[in-house]
Amino acid sequence: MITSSRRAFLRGLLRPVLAGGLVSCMGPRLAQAISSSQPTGRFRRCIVLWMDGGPSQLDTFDPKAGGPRRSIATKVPGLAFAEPLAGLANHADKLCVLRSVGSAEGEHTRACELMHTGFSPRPAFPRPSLGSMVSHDRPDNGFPRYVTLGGKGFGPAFLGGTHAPFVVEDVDAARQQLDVLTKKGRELDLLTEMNAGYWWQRSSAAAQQRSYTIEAVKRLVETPFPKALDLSSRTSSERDRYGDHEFGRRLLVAARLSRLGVPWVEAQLPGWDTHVDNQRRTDALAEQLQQPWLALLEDLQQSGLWEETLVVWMGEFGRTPRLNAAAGRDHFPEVTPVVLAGGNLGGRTIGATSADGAERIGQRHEVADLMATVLTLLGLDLDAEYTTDFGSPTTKVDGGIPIAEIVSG
Amino acid sequence: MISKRVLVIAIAIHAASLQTSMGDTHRIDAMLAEPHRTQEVTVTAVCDDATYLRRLSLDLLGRVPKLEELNAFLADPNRADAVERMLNSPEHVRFWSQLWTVMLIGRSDQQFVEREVLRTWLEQQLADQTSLQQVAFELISAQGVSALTGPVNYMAASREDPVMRLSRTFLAVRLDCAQCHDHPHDRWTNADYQAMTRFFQPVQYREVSGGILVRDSTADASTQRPVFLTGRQPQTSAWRRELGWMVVQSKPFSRAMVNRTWYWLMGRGIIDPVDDLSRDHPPVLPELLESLSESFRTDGYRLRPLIRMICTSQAYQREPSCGADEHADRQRSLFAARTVRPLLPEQWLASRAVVLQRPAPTADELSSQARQVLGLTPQSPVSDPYHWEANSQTLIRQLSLSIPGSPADLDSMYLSTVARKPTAHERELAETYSSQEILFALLHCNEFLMND
Repeated sequence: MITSSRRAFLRGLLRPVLAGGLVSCMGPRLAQAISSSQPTGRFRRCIVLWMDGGPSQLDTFDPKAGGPRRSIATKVPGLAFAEPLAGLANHADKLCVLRSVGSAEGEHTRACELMHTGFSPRPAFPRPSLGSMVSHDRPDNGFPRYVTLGGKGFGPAFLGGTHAPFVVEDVDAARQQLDVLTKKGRELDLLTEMNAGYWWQRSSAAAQQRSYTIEAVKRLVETPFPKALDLSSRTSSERDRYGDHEFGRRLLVAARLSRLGVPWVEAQLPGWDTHVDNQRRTDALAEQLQQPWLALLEDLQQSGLWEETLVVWMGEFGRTPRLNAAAGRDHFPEVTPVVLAGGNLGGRTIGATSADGAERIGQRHEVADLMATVLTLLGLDLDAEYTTDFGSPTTKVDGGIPIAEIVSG
Repeated sequence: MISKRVLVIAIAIHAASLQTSMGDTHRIDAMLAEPHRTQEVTVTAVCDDATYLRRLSLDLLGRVPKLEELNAFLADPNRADAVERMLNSPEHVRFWSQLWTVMLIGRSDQQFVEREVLRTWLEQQLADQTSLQQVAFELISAQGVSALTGPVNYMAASREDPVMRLSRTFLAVRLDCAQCHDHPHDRWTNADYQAMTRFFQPVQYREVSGGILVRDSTADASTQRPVFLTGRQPQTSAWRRELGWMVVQSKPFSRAMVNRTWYWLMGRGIIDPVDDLSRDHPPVLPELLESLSESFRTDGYRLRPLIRMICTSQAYQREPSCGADEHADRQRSLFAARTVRPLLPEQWLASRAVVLQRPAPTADELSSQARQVLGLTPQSPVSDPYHWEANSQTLIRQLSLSIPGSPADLDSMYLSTVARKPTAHERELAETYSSQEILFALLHCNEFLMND
């Protein structure tokens, strides 16, 4: 796997030709990308709040007049949140609400993959998730660079196992596994010695890779990483602030890992697939979401990490503006709500939806544009291509262009 | 380790007698001799008996030999007999049905896909020595309900891109690479891919109480007819059945089946990667592939004669190469040296049970335990059981599993894990470390974790 910057090539060789026939065949997107400015990475790390199942925009960040939800005016003039998230209204100046994103993927598995990789799934050509790309971009600091807290993980594809997500399905179980290894120092030393004496060690890449990974695990248990998973060592006030429930614990751990320097952490809140009884269920979900999110915003501001930590709230798609017969909302990828926070991103709204919520009006962005935006904010060079394990050069995003208002700061 | 070296001499003599007992030089070895000579590759020695039994047992039964099996074999080390014994054992068809299942539907759980229903069907086919032509035909043309009909699950798992699975598995070509655009160096074009996908157009998937119902609607007469890679078009409206026959009657099919089997046993395909026959990846030894495919066809597309032939060849019995240089690479690619491979998660778990003298895990337990060890991240959709990669988390999961039971004596621990007695140095180590610590290290060390 190698990365090569093709910027010089594109700029130096292609540009004079672009005026000719190439622009039309490459499409305006690529032409625009070539002229885009050097990415400016303002953020060192990212925390994703993943709303698994597809969060309803109408019951969170895009309430509609005449709908079942009361709109709550926020600190930002003209920006209203739905009542379940009233607690965030006072912090609206810290949030950047995107109503311009949408896709055509209305099935969970496919949409999840799209929102994690930026590409519509194609079994023959698996794409790395953004977390894997960031992991690949950042130096090795002894612990995983991409951690997922929850039941789902999205793979590194051709970037290789080193950049696979460290999936913490259950925080306590993961901590116990690492604890076991912390106490196995002698056994692990013996293991290293035995591996060094393995007859075919030198000629087997597989054996060497395994020894290398064992050393990585030995280093990992020595880092503060296992401690960050240890919720018993938190002060009870910290636990109370994040909320004594699964998502509260996940976000607390996410905040700890991020502070430690893990550049990409995703905390999952499942249950947003509200085909039935939408109102009651989104009330409960909003309650689980709001308190830990507020605690996270507070922590990031107090610790001075606000300027360098990007927070992304999203799920696989939005939900239908009309309630179905079961008082639920169905899949609605046309509007895929996204909220960003961190640095000076807050206080603005990008795009809008129609009064009935049925379509996006004004600016429209593809998921690929969102992904290009996030990667640019994190300082990844969109012009540098990857080479897959089957030898094909490929871009990081599916033709996406960073959203100018966001990346220009 | 010294014992290994000394044994080589004894084995060389034994291997020579094995050859005479089987007549002339083994056909595979005879065909390899010429390329080895012209490409100036030296072959490595034939491995010792204990290594051979361990290798064979891992490849055919999916686990290391039990202590008593090892002792019995060392007392009467007839390698051809060992191959025969294992081929006739129910454990063999069970393990290979598992390999086939992973090849056909991958390792991760999928909605409406009944892994065990498919696997038990495959196990029955392998036990009955059904022709692989028949097996592949039934998979490609399967209709019915997933919970009831084994082969339907292959179709249910392939619905996202049926042409990808079909072409990679049964024809050893990556036709799916042409789905985005034509590749300048390749024979297959996007039009070929599109023409192939039309075979699956009539397929309908419907959720029913027993999972998913797969069946074909009548092909619409007005739509464009599909075209197989050979240019053949279906003559009836049963497109998928005709596709099944076109596939299994084609030469690429028998080559793909032979190459897959060779790859599982030898650690590397004659076509490499195993499912990517292309201008960039021609077969490294086309005559060998052709000759084996010819016998495979003559033998009624049955796996057992093919496995028997490969496992009794000296090529299969070679030691790995000591070097890491270009010559060593060539030795491996021309099968003059063994390719060392890490155990599959399934092989490791089953072997662990042997060492700890626990009951053998059932096939269902093995697949769910393997999923636990590998984690939730979807693996590559390229459904090659051997295409997997351990990362630090896989390793943490393995290393943190508790070890039930108490350790045996030192010699037994070494014999049951790495099929040899401890060296003098290792006996010294045993004075510093407890038996429990040594057992832990043995269960996770490369010598145990590698199929060499």
